[in-house]
Amino acid sequence: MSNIDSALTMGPEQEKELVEAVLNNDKRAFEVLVGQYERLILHIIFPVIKSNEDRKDLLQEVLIRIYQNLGMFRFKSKLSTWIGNIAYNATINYVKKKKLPLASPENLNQSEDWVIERLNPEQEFIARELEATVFGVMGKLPPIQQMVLRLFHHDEMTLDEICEVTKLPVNTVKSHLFRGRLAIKNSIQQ
Amino acid sequence: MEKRNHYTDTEFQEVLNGTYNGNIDELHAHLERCVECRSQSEVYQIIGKVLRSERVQFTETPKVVNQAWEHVQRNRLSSSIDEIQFWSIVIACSVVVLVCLGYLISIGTSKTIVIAVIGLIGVYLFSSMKEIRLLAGNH
Repeated sequence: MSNIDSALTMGPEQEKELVEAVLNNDKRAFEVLVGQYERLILHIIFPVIKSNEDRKDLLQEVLIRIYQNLGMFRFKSKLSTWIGNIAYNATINYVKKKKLPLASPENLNQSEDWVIERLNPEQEFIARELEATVFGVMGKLPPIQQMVLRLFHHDEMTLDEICEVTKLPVNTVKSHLFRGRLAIKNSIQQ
Repeated sequence: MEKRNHYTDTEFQEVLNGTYNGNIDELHAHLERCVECRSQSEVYQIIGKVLRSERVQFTETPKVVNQAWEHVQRNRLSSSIDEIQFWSIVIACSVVVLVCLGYLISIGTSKTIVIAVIGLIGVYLFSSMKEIRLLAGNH
């Protein structure tokens, strides 16, 4: 279990070990797996889903799907893109099934359950004003652009991985990234 | 040195992805003298730094993880109970059939009729497997 506990620095072997432990019904391993990919899942769900209740329901649905399908994961792709794809599909289906309105900009980053802490040690080098500007603009972008920007810059996914998660053509992903960054650039320059 | 046009968004993206195949020294030299590309590159760096500095948490996650875990455990248990019930029904039916056949044989029914009855019951049971499964899951 020691390898599983240090899942934040997991290599492929430890990842396999973790998946096997989850499949063997180890709850602690499941918690570690969720902890490892929680941020990625939230980056996909939160820009799109508005209400906190829906977010809880959807997160639960995503976790159940991950557990139920984990036995079929063959390690041919990265676990992160596989989980990201499950979260993305579940989010899109949830929106369609419940006929939900997409999150409006003013609802984002304001819920008390959506906690954002800035812990980067480089924080002192980043002016607070600049940060506020970037997050302000981010909040006004369409949900898919916020999602793609976070997957690219925060989760450090490559374009190919984002395409795998969202099943969008690479040019569409590039276009979302370009437009999102352009909006941020314009507001920084103002 | 030949003066090149501005670097494109895609090229900056490739640099970030580590998939840029062009001359990186040339790019740095270009950034030294081109204000527009330098500002573009700075925007990439700022967005990257700011977004990486946020740590996203959902206070409900631990509760949701527990609920999801309980849900999958209930499902596992329920499907194993379904399986046990399914096989119990199949075994019970088989015993009843064997008893009936034993009775038929004991009263001197011909072999052809016994084989025909076995065949009919077999076909019926095989075609009813789906219904038996549903019956077993309906507890």
